[in-house]
Amino acid sequence: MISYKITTSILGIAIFLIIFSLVRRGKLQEKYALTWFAIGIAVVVLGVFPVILDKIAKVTGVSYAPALLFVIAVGVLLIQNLYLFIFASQNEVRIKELLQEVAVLNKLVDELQEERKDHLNPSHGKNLKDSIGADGENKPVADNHKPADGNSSL
Amino acid sequence: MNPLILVPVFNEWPHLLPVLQNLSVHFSEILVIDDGSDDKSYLRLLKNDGFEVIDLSFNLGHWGAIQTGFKYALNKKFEGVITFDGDGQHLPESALRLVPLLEQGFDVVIGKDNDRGGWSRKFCRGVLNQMSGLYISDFTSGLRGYSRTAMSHLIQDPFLNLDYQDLGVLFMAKKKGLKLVEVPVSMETRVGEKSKVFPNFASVMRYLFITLTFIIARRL
Repeated sequence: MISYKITTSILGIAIFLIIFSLVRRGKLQEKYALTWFAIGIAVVVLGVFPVILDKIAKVTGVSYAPALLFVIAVGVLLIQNLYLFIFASQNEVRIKELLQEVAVLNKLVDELQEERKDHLNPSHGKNLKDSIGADGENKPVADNHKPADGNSSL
Repeated sequence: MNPLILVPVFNEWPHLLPVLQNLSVHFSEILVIDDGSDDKSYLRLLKNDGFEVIDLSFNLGHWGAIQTGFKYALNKKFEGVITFDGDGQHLPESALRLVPLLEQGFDVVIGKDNDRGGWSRKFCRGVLNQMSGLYISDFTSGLRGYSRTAMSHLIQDPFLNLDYQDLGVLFMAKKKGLKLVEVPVSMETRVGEKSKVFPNFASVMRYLFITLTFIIARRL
């Protein structure tokens, strides 16, 4: 029978390697890898020196040390999970706002192109794309679409 | 005032054209907002008929689509907008009744029809009205007028979290100090499928839960 210390060390090192390879392949951003590395370290340290857990249990008044381990583990996972939910909510709002702005801008660009088509004579129609964004006769039209007050977010 | 009419559309285009044709008799500025419908080929038909169209590439929900319309209206310097359902439920004559109230300086004008909806909707309305302290009798009505001031508030952060154009919007609008008013109008029975907010019992409960959480969290 092998020592439990070897089992936990292997577990901790496995977590490390998985996180590392995920970061290397760009599947996981470095900033999110941090907490997972911390979890890996905690697994190795507590596995090799279970005395630490016993001492913490004594200080906090928990009579059965392994129960403390579960409490800590559940707590950490809960916090991480909650963080992800907050993150998802935030992203949803950001994506929504971006799509709204893009849709409105698309519409305004279409209108500008239509206006230009009407102004230019047909033989110059091919140059339409090159001249967008250039200064000149286009400018007063562009100014019309700027919001006058600071309230509009566009 | 010449308001912009916002018609958010999500997979209900078969009923749309007659609705838009009726609308164009009374209003000159109409904007269709496609909220990520599965089949977008109808948009070209609308454009050929001379209707203005905004195309959202995926579904944002009813309120998200309307906010897009607000942003467009603010850019184009409209003094007010009226939201109008594309399923034939609303009548252009009802929309006309909202215009004078916007001109009088109200920020949010709600076209109400108290006879509308089954027991589930009435139950929701009763509970939520009491809880919110709003005392708006038809807060799920999609026929609404918004002033320019209202729009510039309603595109900002706390309103981006909302899904429906309903109680949440009105509640926050009142908190912002906007002037709300209701106008009685009559509505047709829906031509399209079912209510967007209340298609079945589970969604009623879900709606009730979300809105209650919202109200309790914001009132405290």
